[in-house]
Parts: sequence; structure tokens; C-alpha cells
Amino acid sequence: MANFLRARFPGWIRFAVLLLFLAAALLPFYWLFVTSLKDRQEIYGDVLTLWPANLTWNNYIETFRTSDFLGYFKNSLIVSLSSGLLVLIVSIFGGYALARYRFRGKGVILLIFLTTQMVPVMILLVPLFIVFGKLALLNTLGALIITYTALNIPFCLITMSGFFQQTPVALEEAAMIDGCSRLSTVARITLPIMLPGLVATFVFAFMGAWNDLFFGVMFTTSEHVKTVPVGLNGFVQKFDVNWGEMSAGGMVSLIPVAILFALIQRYIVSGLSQGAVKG
Amino acid sequence: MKRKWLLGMSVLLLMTVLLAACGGNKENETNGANEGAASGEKVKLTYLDPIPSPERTAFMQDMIKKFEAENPNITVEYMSVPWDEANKKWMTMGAAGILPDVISIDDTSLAGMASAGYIQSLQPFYDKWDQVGNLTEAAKQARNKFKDEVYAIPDAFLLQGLFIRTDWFKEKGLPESIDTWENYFDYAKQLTDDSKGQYGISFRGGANGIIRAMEYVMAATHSDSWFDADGKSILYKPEGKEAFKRFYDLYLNGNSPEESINWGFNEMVQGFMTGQAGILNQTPEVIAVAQKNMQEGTWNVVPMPKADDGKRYIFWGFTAAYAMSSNTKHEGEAWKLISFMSSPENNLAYSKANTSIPIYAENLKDPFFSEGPIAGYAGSMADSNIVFAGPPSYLTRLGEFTGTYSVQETQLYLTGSQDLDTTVKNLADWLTTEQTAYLKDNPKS
Amino acid sequence: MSAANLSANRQSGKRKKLFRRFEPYLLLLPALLIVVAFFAYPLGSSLRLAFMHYVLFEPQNIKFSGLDNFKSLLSDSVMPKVLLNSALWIVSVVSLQFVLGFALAVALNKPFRGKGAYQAVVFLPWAVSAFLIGMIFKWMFSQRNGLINELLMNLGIIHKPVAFLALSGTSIIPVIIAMIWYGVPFFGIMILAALQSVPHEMYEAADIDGAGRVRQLFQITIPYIKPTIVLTLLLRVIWVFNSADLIYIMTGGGPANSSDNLPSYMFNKIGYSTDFGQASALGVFMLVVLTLYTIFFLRITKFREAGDL
Repeated sequence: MANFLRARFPGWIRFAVLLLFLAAALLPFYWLFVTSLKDRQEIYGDVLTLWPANLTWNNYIETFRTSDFLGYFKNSLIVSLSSGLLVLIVSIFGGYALARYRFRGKGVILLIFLTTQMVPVMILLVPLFIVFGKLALLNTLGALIITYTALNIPFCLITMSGFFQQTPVALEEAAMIDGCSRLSTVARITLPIMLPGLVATFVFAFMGAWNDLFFGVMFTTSEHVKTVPVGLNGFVQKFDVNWGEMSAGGMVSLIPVAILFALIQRYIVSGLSQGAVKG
Repeated sequence: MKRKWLLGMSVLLLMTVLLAACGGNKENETNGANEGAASGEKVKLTYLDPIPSPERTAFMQDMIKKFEAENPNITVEYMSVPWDEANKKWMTMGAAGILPDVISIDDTSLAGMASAGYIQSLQPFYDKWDQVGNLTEAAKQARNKFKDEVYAIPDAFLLQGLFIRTDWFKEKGLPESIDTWENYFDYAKQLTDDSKGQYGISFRGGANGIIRAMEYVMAATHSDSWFDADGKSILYKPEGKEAFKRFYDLYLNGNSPEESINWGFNEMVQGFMTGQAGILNQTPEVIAVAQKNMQEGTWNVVPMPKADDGKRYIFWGFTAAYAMSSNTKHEGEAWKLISFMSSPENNLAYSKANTSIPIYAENLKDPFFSEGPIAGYAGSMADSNIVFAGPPSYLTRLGEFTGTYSVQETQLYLTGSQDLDTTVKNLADWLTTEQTAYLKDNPKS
Repeated sequence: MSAANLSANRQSGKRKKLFRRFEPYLLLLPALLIVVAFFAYPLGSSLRLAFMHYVLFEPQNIKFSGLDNFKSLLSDSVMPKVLLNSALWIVSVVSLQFVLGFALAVALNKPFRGKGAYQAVVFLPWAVSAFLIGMIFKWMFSQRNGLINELLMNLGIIHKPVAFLALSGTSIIPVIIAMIWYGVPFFGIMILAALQSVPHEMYEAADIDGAGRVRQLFQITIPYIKPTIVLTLLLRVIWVFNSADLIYIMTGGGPANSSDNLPSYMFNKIGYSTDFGQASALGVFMLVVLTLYTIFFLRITKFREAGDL
């Protein structure tokens, strides 16, 4: 009993809640998957089938044959990992500063960060185009990495400061009295405690980059720099939505993220942080 | 535990740096695109295609390869942007001065892009072009001009036609053609079976739907323009308003799917293909799509109906004409590419691949255009009783009207939030204001 | 908190103290550099454009136009409707995302068999691009061959397919549902991460005091993770306010703008008119509204005291 955190529901309600969430989360994926296994005639047919009548993997084969999906993947991974890590690193420093120090201009800095989140991205487009054009960054992954990093820093940094704030400062102080430097204290004591927060923040930054379509479409034109959402968008043609292949592409694009979740989600489980707090 | 985490983190970091590094190399390759030209040896051109699809992209890349083989000192990079985003991208690239050397552009954007100075006049090249004499009349008269100068070479032509569900027509005992507008409205009603979720018309209530409505208004008022001789909208005429009402009654009376109030291009084609609607007003490009998605023998294409004066009021235009950006450093090479893509041989292959009408009279004689669904289009193109019923694309704000303003107004009307008189007046006022301003600046036309 | 922190270091030497004064700025420097370098020019220029006639189609006709852009925004007859929709959009999306995300986090806040796999699946919606979500939900809610209609008919709730996305006044609801589906994992992860850091000794003490589960939730859990709640809510509102893509894809704002919010309305309009002067004016307007909101929100949550920001 004492090993569990207690913010929870009674057993059966919890079970029902978990089940409902699972069903709600899965429904659209189920539909995406089913659509990806249908042929065109069935997708456009008169009768809606809840499971493919003529199950076919053709859409998957075609998706990889007609478009450079592996290339889109590689680009998306490069962009999302680089900008995710960049964001994480600067957010740790900045978030720590916001949470642990009292200094002049804190309000102004916070406002600067928030302001960037308040304007519609659309009005940034033309100026950014001109700047990136001058720097010869258009149609490169570099433009996307810079864009996503800058776009996601404010949110992640502020969230990170929230995580720092709720990590007891007493632990840090104790370590520092023991003679540890501030840097090593944070690295050894604080960060491990808030590992779930770090992971959550990284996931946020990663997803922000992974899912963006707008800047992807606007900043890239060549096949070899397109990202996954841009590639998927390509299945919507002038007159035709290629539902089958788009769904197949969509399913495939979930795989790396599902793996990522599976790999890191264990850091969001209780054991780790709990142990650290105890120590 | 901590060590492990740090280790994991640093491995990830390293991986990213490596990945980013190898990504970086590739970027540099393409970036040389516009520079490196001054040397005058190898020239690199960029071409932007707004209608990518696996088939078309493969075709265009193939054509580019042939061009490169003929011109070993020129390389061309194929780039693409999805149709829905194309206009936004052209404008932004134009404003930033980084438009690719050659772009394919539709007639709605041409006037704006030309007046903004983002694309350059092709008149000097056109005057010397040896193929001008072989073009069809439609190609010579095409709306590829701005201030009387040619700004783009049409790729191929599209015109409206009616896709019909022949199996539904058979079932209801209807003839498999739609000769007059009376027939059109009548069949729409007969084909509707609400209980089965089947409707007559694949209606377009979203962006640019007004263009279809105006086509009918022109036919009903026997007008060859959206405006009368004094520059006033034909919607002011009582018979114009009557026609407008009749067209939108298709939706209000339930002869088209309820959700079609939001439909654009894509959705109306899908509405037809999923068996939601029996008649679809669309261009020949859709033939290829229908062939892919529908069962043979369930559909066909028939010419647009005749108005009661015996004429067909049809919109036609090019798909996306080849234009040259103003910021290109290689005008000569860019023209070479444009004229190569527009050569009779390439144009024929292109028109076949895209199921559209070629720009050369000679090409039209190819048997491809007298068989199957496309024959209906080629036939009405040859008909002398055809009236061009297109929108006034010389108005630079036309896109705003067809894309947003008219959509708001007509949707208000269709949802019952605004009455007919107000709706028609608002639309007519907007158009007339723009036309008056245009006539003031361009008194001659 | 930081007062205590400072006092703990009082014994350090004077030079060190001087350095300490610059430390927060140094720590924030990388983030600030990136953000300012990226945003300064675009934001500055759009501030300028808000007071100019700037239409991409008319590069020869760029001129200062005073408050014209703002006037035309205010005189736009669609504005009241769109503003109202925006309010509905934010309130329903954020509150439901939050409540559901919180419930999910609390339900997950205890190990069970297969939790890893469960989490990976339930958080997956977050991994889908908004474009794909819009397409899937549009397809599911469609009148013809739509999954939702099919299921509702099988259950006998409706007898005839409903055109969910075309109903004037309610067509925004499917979009809201899609948006909630998209956003619950975000709150779930953020809150779960925060919950993990609540020391369980606190619950033990509460158990001894005999506090019930609900009281524990409100007296221990929520106050403890308040910084995270406040910040995620603050940022999420701004983010949702600014979000237009699902609307754009699913309904295009129709019919008759009944599902448009502020940015989707503008996005659509600017897409055709390319009037970036007006778009910038709207941006300035949104900036003002959201700044007021931020100040109000931080006051009302007493964040200054609680979180020392």
C-alpha cells in the first residue's frame, strides 16, 4: 500500500476510466488502420465495412513505391531529434534560472517568451521567408530545425521552470552544504528527480517538430527535404484524396513515435522519481 | 540509474549531431541552385509544380530528364507544392524574391502575380517562338495575358463537363445525356432519393462554388460576362436573380447532399465517387481519378447543357501555364525549358497523361481525344456555339471574392440566415465595385 | 523558496556573489538568443505592417495607412460571430482537455500490469500530425461512409446519416471533439509527470489523519502540482486560441463561418486576399487580448506568490 502514490480513484472506477480512455484513443486509429487495408473500390463503395472485405496490403506497398517515405522519415527524425534536444538543453538552463533565482527583468523575460506564442504563425511567414531566403536556408532541414527550436523553447522553458519549482529546493541545499557545486548538484540531484518532467518536455518539443505541417510545406519544396506530414499532405491531390495510401502512410508514421513512447515512457513511471525523493 | 540516463542522453545527442551533419551535406548540394550561375558553364534551373501526384510527378521528372539529355549544360530540379497551398507559396516566394526559375501557375493567380511583378512577360520570347502559328484558337485567346502581354504558355486546356452515374440514369429510365438546363434541374430532382442517401447534384458550397453558379446565371441571361455593358453585375437583373435562386434551390430543395454546403473541389469529386451524387460538374482531369476509383460502366462524361438560345456557356482555361519568375538569372535557359515542355510532341504526351485538351490543333486529331469520356470535352470544344463563361480573372481581388466573400454570403443564404435579396445584392455590389474600379484604371477594355 | 536558497549561500565570497547576480541571465542567455534572433525581425515587421497597406499582390502600393487595418477589422460584420466562436472554442477545448487529461493522469498514477503498453497507446494521439487528425475526423464524421454515423445508426440512436460538419451552429462540435482527442495526452503526460514528484509521505500523513481520497486530491495533490497546472493551462489557452488547422481542414470554417475561430477566419481570408497588413493588425489585436489574459490569469491564480515568478 505505502508503495503507491495515493492520488487515485477507487479500483473499479479507475478500471472503467482507463478502459474508456483506451477505447476513445483507439477508435480513430482503428479507422485509420482499417482504411489502410481497403482497396479503392471498397473505400468509395456504397456500403461501409467495419473490417475490410478484401483485405489488401497494397496501400503500404504503393506508399513506399510511389513516394520516398523512408526519406521523409529520416528528415523528420533529424529535425525532431535535433530541435527536441536543443530545446531541452536550453530549457533546463533557462527553466532553472526562472525557478530558482530572483532577479531584475524576470517579468520582462517571461513576457518576451509568452509574446512569441501569442501571434498567429501566419503573419511570421513572409518575414521569415525573406530572412531564410537571404541566409540561403530555405529548402533545407536547417530552416526547420531553427524554426521548431525557436517556436518550442518558450513553452518548454516555462514548463520546465514549473517542474523545477515543485522539486524541493531543500535537497539541493543539503547537497551544496555537503560541498557539491551548483552544477553538479542540479545534475546529480535535481534532474534525476524531475526526470519525468524532462521526458515530458522533450516529448513536447519532439512532437511539436514532428507534427508540423505549415512550416514544412512553406519552407521545403524539394523531395529530399520533405518531412512526414508534408509527405502525407501530398496524398491530398487536386481532385483526389488517396485515402488508402494516406492511411497506410499515417500508420507507418506512427511507428517511430510509438517506439519512442515505449522507450521513454518508463521514465514517467513512479519508481524512479520516488526513490530519488526518498534518498 | 543516473549514469545510465546520462549515457543514454549523450548517445542520443551524438546521434542527432551525426544525423544532422549528414543532412547538412545534402542541403548544400541543392543550395547551389541559384548561385554558381555567373560562371556560365553549368546552369541549374528550378521548376515548381503545383499539381503533384505520383503519376504526374513521374511524368514531369521524365520530361525533365529528356530536357537535360538534350541540354547537357543545364540541370533542372523538380520541386512541388500541394495544390491547396500553391497560391500561398507562390505569393510568399514572390514577395521574398526567391521564386523558382520556372513555375506552373493557374489563371486565377496569373493576373495577381504578373501585376505584382513576380513573374515576367514572355512576350519577347513568344514573338520569336516558331510554334505560335500551330496553336489552337483557344490557346491563343487564353487568359495568359496581363496588360496585353503574354506572361505564360498554357500547358493544356480544361473545360467543364458533366460526369454522370450512368447506372443511376438507367435505373430511373433517363436518357444518358443532359441536353438542356431544364433537363439538368429535372434529372437532379429525379435522381434524388433521400432515404438511400443519394442525391442529384454534387454541389459545391465552399470555395469557388460561385463560379459554377455564375456559369448558369450567364447561360440563363445569355450573357458572355459577369457584367453587362455598363459594368454592372448581371445579378442585378431580375432574370439573373431568378437564375441564382434556381441554382441554389438545388441545395435548398435537397437535391444535393446536406454536407455539400462546405464542399470544395476535392469533396465534390469524392461525393460523386462515393455514390452520394449522380451528377458532377467537373473538368477532364477528373477522368483519370474516376477511372482509378470507380467501376467501369457506372459513369460517363457528357457535354454541358445548352441554354435556351442553343449555346453552351462553358468555362474553360488552362490547368497551370508555364511562367518565368522575375528573379531568374537564366532567362534564356528558362525559356528553353518552357518551350521544350510546350513542344507539340511533349504537349501531346502531357495532355494524354493529364487527360486534358492539348494546345496544338494538330494534337487534337490524335484518336485519344475522340474516344471515351474525353470525347465529350473535345466535342464541345469543337462546337462553334460555345460561349466562354469564365470569371473576370483580370480583377486582382477575384480570388478573395470566389474564395471567401461569396462563400460567406451564399452559405448564409443556404443556412437560412440571410434572404435572397440581400445575398444577391451583396454579391452584385461587391463585384460591381471592383469592376468599376477596374474600368476606371483600364478604360479601353 | 529562492529566498531560502539565497540565504543558504550567504557564506560564499563577494566575487562569487557578483557572479551569482549574473548567473540567471547567463543561464537564460542561450534560450533568449535563439528566441529573440528568430522572432525579433518577424514580430517587429508585423507590428509595422499592422499600420500599413501591405497586400502581396500590390508590391508597388505599400504605404502607411494608420489605423485603417484596425478599422476594417472592427467593421467586419463577421467579427462578433467569430469572436464568440473563439471563446466557445477555447473554453470547451481547454477545460475538457484539462479535466480529461487530469483524470487520465490520476488513473495512471499507480502501477498496474501492462501499464507501459497502455501508456504508449493512450498517449499516441499526440503523435499524429494535426493534418492527419483533421483528415481522419473529417472522414469519420462525414455523412456518407462516415464511421460515426454508422455506429450511431447501429446503436439505433439515429435513423438517417447526419451531416455533422454542415450543420449551421453546431459544425464546430466535431472539430472540438477532434481537438480534445488530440490534446488529452498532452495534459495527461504533463500532469502525470508532475504527480510523480509528489512525495508519497504526504499521503501517508493524510491517511493517518483519516483524510478521504477526494480531500487528498484537493488538499495535497492539486496544491502540490499547482505550478505545473497553472503554467500548462496558461500556455495551453494561448496555444489553443492560436490553433486553426483542425478547423481549416475539417469544415473550412463553414457553413457561413459558424465554425470559424479568429485565426482560422483570418487564415482563410488572407490566403485569398494576401492582405498581410490586415493579418498583422489581427496579430496585434490577439497579442493585446492574450497579454491581458495572461496578466489576469496570473493574478487570479495568485501565481506570483505561489510560484515566485
